[in-house]
Amino acid sequence: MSSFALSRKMKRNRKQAEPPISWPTRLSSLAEKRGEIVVALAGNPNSGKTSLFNALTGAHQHTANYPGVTVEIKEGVVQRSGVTLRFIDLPGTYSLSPHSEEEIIARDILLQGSADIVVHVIDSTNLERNLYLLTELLDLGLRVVIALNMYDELLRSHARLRVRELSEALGVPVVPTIAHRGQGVNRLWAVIVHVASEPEQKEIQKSVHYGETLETALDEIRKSLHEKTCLGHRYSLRWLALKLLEGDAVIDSVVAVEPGGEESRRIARGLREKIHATYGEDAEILIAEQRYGLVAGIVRRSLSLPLEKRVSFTSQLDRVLTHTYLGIPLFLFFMWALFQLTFSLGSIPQGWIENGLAWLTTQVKAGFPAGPLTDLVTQGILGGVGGVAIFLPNIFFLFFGISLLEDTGYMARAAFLMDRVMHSMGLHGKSFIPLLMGFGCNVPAIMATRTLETRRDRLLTNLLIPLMSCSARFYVYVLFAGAFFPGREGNVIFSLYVLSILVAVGIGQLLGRTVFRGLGSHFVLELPPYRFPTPRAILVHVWMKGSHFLKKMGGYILAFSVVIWFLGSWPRLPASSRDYDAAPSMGATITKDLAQNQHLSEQIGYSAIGRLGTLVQPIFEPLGFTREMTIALIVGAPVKEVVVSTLGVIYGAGSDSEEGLRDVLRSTQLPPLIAYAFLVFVLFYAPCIGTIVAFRRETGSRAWTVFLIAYEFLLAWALAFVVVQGGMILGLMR
Amino acid sequence: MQLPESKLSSSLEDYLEAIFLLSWKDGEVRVAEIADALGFSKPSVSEALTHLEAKGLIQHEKYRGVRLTPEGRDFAQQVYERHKTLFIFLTRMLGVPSAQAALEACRIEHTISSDTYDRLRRFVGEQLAQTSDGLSRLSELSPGESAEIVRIQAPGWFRHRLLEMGFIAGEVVTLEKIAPLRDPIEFVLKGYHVSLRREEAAHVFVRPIEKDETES
Repeated sequence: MSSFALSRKMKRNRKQAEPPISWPTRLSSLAEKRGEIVVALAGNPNSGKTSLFNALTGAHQHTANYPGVTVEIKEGVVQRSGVTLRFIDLPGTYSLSPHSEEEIIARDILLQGSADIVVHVIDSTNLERNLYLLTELLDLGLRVVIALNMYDELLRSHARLRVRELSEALGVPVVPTIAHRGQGVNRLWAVIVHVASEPEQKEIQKSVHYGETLETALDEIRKSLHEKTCLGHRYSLRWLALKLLEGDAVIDSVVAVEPGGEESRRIARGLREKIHATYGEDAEILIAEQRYGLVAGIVRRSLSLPLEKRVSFTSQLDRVLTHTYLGIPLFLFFMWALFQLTFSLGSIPQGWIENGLAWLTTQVKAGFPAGPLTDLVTQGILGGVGGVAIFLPNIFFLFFGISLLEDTGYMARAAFLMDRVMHSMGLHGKSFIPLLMGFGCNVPAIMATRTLETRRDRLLTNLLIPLMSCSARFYVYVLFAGAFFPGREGNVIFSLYVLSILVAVGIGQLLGRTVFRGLGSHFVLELPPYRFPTPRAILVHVWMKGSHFLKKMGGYILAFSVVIWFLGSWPRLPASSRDYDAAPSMGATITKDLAQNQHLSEQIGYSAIGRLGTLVQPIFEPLGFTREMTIALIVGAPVKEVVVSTLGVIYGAGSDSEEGLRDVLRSTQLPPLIAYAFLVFVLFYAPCIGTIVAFRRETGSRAWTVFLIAYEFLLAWALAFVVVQGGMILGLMR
Repeated sequence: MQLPESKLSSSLEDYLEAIFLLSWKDGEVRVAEIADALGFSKPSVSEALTHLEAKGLIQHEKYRGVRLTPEGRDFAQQVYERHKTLFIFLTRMLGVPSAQAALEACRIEHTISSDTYDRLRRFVGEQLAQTSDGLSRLSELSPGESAEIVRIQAPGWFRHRLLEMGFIAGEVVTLEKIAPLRDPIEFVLKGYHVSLRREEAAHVFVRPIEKDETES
């Protein structure tokens, strides 16, 4: 538990030795800290909460470690004039009801009393909707300070807000801020410290009065909770009563497991029914009405001019950007630009990285004697590092673009434009961008699903992204199409992309209607005013994404790469099996190369992976794949572009020459039908290491990761089988 | 329907109403529950129950639940009807806030004469018939059209989401724009813009507002 020596919580802690609740969201980093004020930043999406967090913490921030939680929560510790403040950036939420992972986490952190002070960040131009959350925060019995953010926009709209009156009416200190310019931050800091040092007993804050009937009901439930249970040590009983009356399933189950809680639940159930019978409405609706009623009243009293309907700039822009005919072409243009930025521009630094590593490899090779250890360093480790670093430019560029789209407010419009299409696949409009980016590279695409709001939508999108044919797979297509379908390469490759999309649509609908059925997905999406992004916020976002990738995923990808390399190189082929240096009596370098290629080919066959290939070969027999192809598939499972070079090695064409490999492949007389089935298999069969690690990290679920790998394998096999069998029936097998 | 002239004190009517409401599921209700619901002590509830039993309106066996007799059920239903009609009248037609309306309906329901009630009932019935004819779904508005939210009929969690976003009865919503592919739809309420899918907006029942009405 926390933290700052505020008396009440400390006493509670002593009474309740065990952790309050076993939800998987305990603040690990907060756990043992003392002598600091813990400040949670809460607020609606688009309220500028993150800007304020950046302004408050500067560079002193990091992603907090919440075990088992996939929602990214940032923390920042800042010390100033002897006081240490620890800021927690809660996920942006409209309320604290348990409908999405973000809301549950935000609520849990607040419930656990981890925060001494809650700064509620409010978009000044949208007071009513933003203040709804305040009523919930006050119901929780929290000490709240309001940051009236984007105050400049309020002033610009010619409305006059009497801040002092607002503060008095709400019973909460209110500090106007302009986060992106850092204005009001010092004042906010001072108010936080002041409020935190006030004695706890001073009840300055009001909570919502819900009207006599509801208040009587609340009192009754609270009384029973107080008399029959010990929940009062941990929670605000009034809040618990409120949630029981609302019929909140999570709280209901918390009370249900509490000794003596059954009676309170029964009373609450009775009261809910009674209220429904009396009013013809559920208590939940009445509560929401009361909350909005209170807020609307206060806003009306302290706002002297009604806010202008909307900054005309936004309306003007929307007239074009979401125009009936122009909207979608413009959107597609932006997507094209984002794709180019990420993958074309991104390939330039990727080239630098590759050259750098190649240079390093030659240095190592030159500096050390040839042998297994040098091989480990050059091929295993440097290869693995390359496999990690190669993603970074894409991640940086993609998140630069995505930050730009999000911070300007265009992201919401993109979802608005695309939802019709995405919804038909059982997805959310916001899924479009991650899926599209999947065609470039699955790893940053999976990381981009963070923009989706519900866990259901994120998970479903993540399960579909690996079906998007990424550029690594393209290399395999080019080789095979060139070897087996000369003159028809374009059509063959195009057909694979079409197949990729069709299968994604099909799987999306299938999963949406089976596994994900009934799970809440909705499109209640705010379309915020367009705003100018601040370079600082974008850079922070890009930096966080890059370091997140390196810290949370880089290590795993590196480790897996080394393991795969190891399995492909060990056990070593006994050196005595054939004497390569003696054999080429002609002395020509070409023959020596050939011999070396031969050696490499045999080595792979002899290695663990080669043996595995022989072992699993029967699985691929019905698809008509040769043993060489099976081995290439296994080696390529973690990194698909490797399928090409592995085939080169196995067929003894060397790993570098694509021309040679094409000729060798052609000479195998493999029927084109089988070659096509092979491509279909490559398209779907398993995500690369990077994708698997990213998927595991972003979903936080081992089970779903296993599911992903299994379903993709089955899918690939089934489709390849259909291609082979279907083709044979149609008489396409020559 | 002729309302029986009240033969009961208002508190006994309250008891009857409470028993009616609490027993509508199982057909019976325990004394403790009645005491809970009305906030009276168990002994005073027992006393009242004896009165009601003497009038043949309920059956109460020791250690068993309380049941309404057919006569009792009719009577209670009438009391409850009165309450409901008054509540609808106060909230929907006079705009009294629901909490206040519930309290006042509780008081008026015992004192209103059967004649006045009959007229009120007819009036409310006519008004309701009119307004529910005029109801449309939020998804049926055309661009630029405004409407007042009357009620939301949606699955629990989704309704909660709408409530939190400000879709509450009495709120005025304007349809701003329909997406190029005809779905979703952009609305303005409480001074901000929000989009809903067509099928989602169909859960919200509204009363369209004439142009002149919005301006005045």
